[in-house]
Amino acid sequence: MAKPLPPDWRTVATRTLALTLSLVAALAATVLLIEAAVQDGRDLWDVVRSGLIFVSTAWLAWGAALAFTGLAPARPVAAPDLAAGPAPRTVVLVPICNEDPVTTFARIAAMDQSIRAAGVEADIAILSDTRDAGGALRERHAYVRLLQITGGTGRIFYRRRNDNRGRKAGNVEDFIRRSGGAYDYAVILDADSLMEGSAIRTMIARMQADPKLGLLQTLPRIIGAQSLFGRAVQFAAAFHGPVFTRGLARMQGQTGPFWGHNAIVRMRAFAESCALPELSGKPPFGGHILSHDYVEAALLARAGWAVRVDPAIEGSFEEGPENILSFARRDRRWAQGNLQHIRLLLAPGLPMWSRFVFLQGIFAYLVSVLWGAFMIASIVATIKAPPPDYFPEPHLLFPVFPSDRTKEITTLVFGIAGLLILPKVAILTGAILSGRARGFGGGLKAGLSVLVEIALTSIIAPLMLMYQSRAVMQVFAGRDGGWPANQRGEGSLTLGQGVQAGLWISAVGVAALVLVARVAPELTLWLTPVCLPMVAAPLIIALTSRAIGRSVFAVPDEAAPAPVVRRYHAILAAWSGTAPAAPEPPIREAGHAPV
Amino acid sequence: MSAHENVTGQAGIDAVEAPFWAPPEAPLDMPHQVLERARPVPFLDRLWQALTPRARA
Repeated sequence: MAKPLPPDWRTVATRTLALTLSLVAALAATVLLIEAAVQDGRDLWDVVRSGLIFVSTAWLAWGAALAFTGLAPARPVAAPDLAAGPAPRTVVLVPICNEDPVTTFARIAAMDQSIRAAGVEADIAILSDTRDAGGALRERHAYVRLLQITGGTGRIFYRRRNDNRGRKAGNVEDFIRRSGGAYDYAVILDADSLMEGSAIRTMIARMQADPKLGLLQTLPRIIGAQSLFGRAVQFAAAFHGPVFTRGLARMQGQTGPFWGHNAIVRMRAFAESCALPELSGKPPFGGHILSHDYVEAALLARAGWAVRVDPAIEGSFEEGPENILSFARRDRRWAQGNLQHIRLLLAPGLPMWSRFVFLQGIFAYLVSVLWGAFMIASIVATIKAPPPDYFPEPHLLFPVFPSDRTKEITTLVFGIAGLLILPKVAILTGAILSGRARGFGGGLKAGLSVLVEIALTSIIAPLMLMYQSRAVMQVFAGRDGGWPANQRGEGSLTLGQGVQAGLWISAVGVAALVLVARVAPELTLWLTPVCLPMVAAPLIIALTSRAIGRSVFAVPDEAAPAPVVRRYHAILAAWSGTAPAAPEPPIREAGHAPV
Repeated sequence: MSAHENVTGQAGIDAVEAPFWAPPEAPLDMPHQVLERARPVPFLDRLWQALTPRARA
């Protein structure tokens, strides 16, 4: 087995700088907290609080460091085109499981047309893991229809597994074991992925140009959001996402991420290094590896292949969750998948950075529990604090008032808020200066969208903290959440559904407010921004799932959808009987000479 | 008419009985990767095995 590629000096310098910034910020927060806490003497709870604030702040600062690292624009590099010679053998893999076949196959039809328009020769293989017979039958109907409108016989394949071993990773593995030898590259998609043919052409060319490149990940832009929550996520992904991802690319270097879809892999590299074993023991920590993509990226790096992410590749799309409930449901799966990586931290031969990436994924979920624990420890420390002693020395004529530590606490709160807000302000400034904000309705409108997004994120954060904490506790309690299919297309929620999903959060919020008001009233004001959204959880869940707030969160893809997206909508309309099936949708794309 | 009905109606039931178009047969070996270090047998288990010949057999 080849050795992992060593990081270059730029990557090492970026990592060192980001780690230093995170540790300095964490240390500053801890010192401020200790200074504020010592006024009533030190006790065990202060030690606990200090430890928790150190870890939690380090995590926030790490996120900020990612953004700052990505602020500088990428150096313009001429994108390579396909090499001369025989066309590379490429297959687009679309693993599906209990999806709506009409929308899924309409996307495939749109991509097939776009791929051909880009002059790329690529097969498409639909790999179904659909379990129920009715769903499978609908898929077969849609497949036949797909062949009819694309003329894709011999180019577009469909097969369904009876044994769903290994879920999506097992599905792809099964394909490679049977048919992998027929291809040089595989573009791996999700059921809701859409990719321009030109993007696939660029990806193939990049793989040809760099023989050590094992996997190239694109940054999919979220499209099609309708609700306030969905459009906020869509805006954040389009506006902030490229900067964060550029930071990630600089930080990770050749040990980059794999997000499971909208990426291209070198078939030989993937086959020789990415067959996942079952972990010993039972789920949630044993059994099949759920979040397989991070592990596959680490295994490719272990085998000496480069794994890169490039947010500059245009024409990569996916759909996002439309409401908090869908988001939390997906997060439950991801929480289990990432926490399972605890088992892999010491896996033999992995590059140190891959272990660190696992650790980041684990912390992404543990941090919610840590913030919750910090708040509880702060309440307990306040309750346990002794009453102020105005005469610490006998025979004093005048009382000694305890020093006011409001300044330290306020600095701490603003510092932590700054770690969350400053990167977004910096991204906004960069977007206005570079002209990128024009695509988001101009500087003023983009600024307003960023402000509303920060406010909305602050309101939703306590709810997500509760959902994530519950997910983490369920996983540690041994509850396997499984990997149910995505509820795509799930949109507007009623208040009743909001109550059903969020009543327990309201109950916790009310209980926390009442408790704090009784036992530590001086903390009530500090905890109100956390507890009030919790109390209003059902209302927030229902309201944010509605199609309101259309005046903010404009993204370029809403005003001018990409050609493949327009094709998809036209085909879907034809299939749904709301538009004629023929002639072909009048969409023009830059043509390429066939290879 | 729903999208499903539309697709189903136009495709026809005969098409469903048609054989599926399978991807080309071109097997590629995928050796299973090692992600866990072999765990040492706990001391008590080894002791038990040493003391009970039947279990050892």
